[in-house]
Amino acid sequence: MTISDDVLMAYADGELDLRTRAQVEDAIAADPQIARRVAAHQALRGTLRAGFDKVLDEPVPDRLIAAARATSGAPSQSRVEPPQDRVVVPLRPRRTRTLALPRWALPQWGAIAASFVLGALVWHFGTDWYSSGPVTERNAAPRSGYVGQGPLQPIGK
Amino acid sequence: MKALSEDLGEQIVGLLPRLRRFARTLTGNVHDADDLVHIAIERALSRSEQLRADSPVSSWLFGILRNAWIDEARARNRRNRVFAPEELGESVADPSGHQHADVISVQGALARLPDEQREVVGLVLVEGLSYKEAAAIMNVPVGTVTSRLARGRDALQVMLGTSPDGTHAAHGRPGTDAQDPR
Repeated sequence: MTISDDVLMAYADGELDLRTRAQVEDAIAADPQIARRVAAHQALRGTLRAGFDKVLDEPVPDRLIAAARATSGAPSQSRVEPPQDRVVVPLRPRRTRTLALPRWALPQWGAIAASFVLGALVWHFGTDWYSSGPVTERNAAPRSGYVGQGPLQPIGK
Repeated sequence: MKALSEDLGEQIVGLLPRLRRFARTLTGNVHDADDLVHIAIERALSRSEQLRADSPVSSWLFGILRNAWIDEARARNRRNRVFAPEELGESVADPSGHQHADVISVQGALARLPDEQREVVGLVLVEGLSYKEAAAIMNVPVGTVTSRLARGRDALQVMLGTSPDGTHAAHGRPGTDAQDPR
């Protein structure tokens, strides 16, 4: 009778129903190789337990007991290095930037309004002042024309 | 409500030794393990409404601890991917000669297993949970638990030099896991 290693493993882990367990026990009795494989599975269980059971005897750190008794359900602020915060950190500036938007929008609107006022002032006063230049030149041009004609008259005379 | 969560807090205190042991099988060192337990405690207390009456508190807590560990491992892998130097491939290819050591500690052997095998070994072989409980915690079918456990066992027995016979590991397992959703 051949029994798969998965079944032998399940036997060692106490996962089999009564009937299959009886079959495996028959096979163990009949075949030393099967007995050896089952023993290896059981030994590995024992080795692992022995390797980690000593953790149960260690004193539990106070911070863990305190955390369990912090019944508010709110995450404690006291932890020195909360690793998941490192994942959250990049999101924070994005959120504050969104919240800060209205705060720096006001000066910006002020600047835009000031530009309009300045533009209106330039339009109102600036064009007068600016157009006075060409007008003076236009006035000056005939004058220079007179001046130009001036010398002609004495010559013609 | 407050009385309920106080009660949960005391149940967690009672389970702390086992939570620490399970965390130790996952992380392999004291400080990471206790940080992980700390995260799991906070998550459990903030989600106490998710605790169902029909499943043991211990399984629920193991599940929270295991998920926190996976989140941590993902975050760590992301960081490592960003900062990993090119030479990493070489150092992985040469695992600093541990094959030369005749005796390897259980902890050392467990640490060399892939994460998915290490967690099932921790739950079934160290914590003594049933395959069904382990499957519920890992959120996989029972068949996946048995195949990962079998591969983990084979690898551990080879590393620890306790293989029942030399040929066993060779004819034992397929390298791939058809039922594995990952």
